[in-house]
Amino acid sequence: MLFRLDDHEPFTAHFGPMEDFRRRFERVFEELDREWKPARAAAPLFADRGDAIELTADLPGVAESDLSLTLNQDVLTLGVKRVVAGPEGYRPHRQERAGFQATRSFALPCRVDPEKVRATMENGVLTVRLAKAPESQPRRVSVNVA
Amino acid sequence: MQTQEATRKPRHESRSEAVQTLRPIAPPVDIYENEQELLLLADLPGVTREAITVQFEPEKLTFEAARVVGDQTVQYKRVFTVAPIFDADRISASYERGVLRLTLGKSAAVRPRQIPVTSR
Repeated sequence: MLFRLDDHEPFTAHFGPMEDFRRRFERVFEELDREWKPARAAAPLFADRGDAIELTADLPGVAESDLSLTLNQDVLTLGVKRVVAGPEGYRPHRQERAGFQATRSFALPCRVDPEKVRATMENGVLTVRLAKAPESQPRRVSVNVA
Repeated sequence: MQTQEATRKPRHESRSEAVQTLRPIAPPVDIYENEQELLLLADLPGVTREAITVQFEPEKLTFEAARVVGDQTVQYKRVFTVAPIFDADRISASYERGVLRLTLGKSAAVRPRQIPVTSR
């Protein structure tokens, strides 16, 4: 179609299809990008195990000494640090593993027993098991026939 | 060194079975090199040593691992094209604290050599 002078949007008439093409083209790259991007560390996960609350967090390459956990009433604070230093005498080609230092606090959904908190690190995954306080434990209510 | 696509399925196919199998995740990787070897570090949290497979073919290095999270299985996979300068017998892998460490030793032909100078 030819460009008409009285067209109110001459630009769109001309470049609309181009613009559309460009947008589609970029979307292809966005898609590729999404696939290619190395996975980011997953956010810590909380699970209710009935008598306990369990926190799991992926912390590959983090030493136990670089972890700090504090429980204050029903707020759990996790401090973590990972230093990624290239080995001595090597030339880097690709560095996707990021170092980080972060502190996060989590408000727990119920009271927990501070004496019964267990934290373990296994294969780069931190698991914190917080036993619920007696008053927060699930209780079975029996139904009586009237 | 180039990264290759992990595994690619047609979109419609991967979508229909999205519930059972998730697309492999590309874990972050660091690669370092010196005169003797290539060192690769990959974050693979939550897998066991037995669940990791490392495969080396001429010019192609693949590692993958499966991890069970709740009721789902997460697949980690990365494929790299490597220059044909590595000795298949000088590859080692270790796994500690959720980090896979691969070393690929260069073959003798490409390693720098010191030539002693003798006097006559």
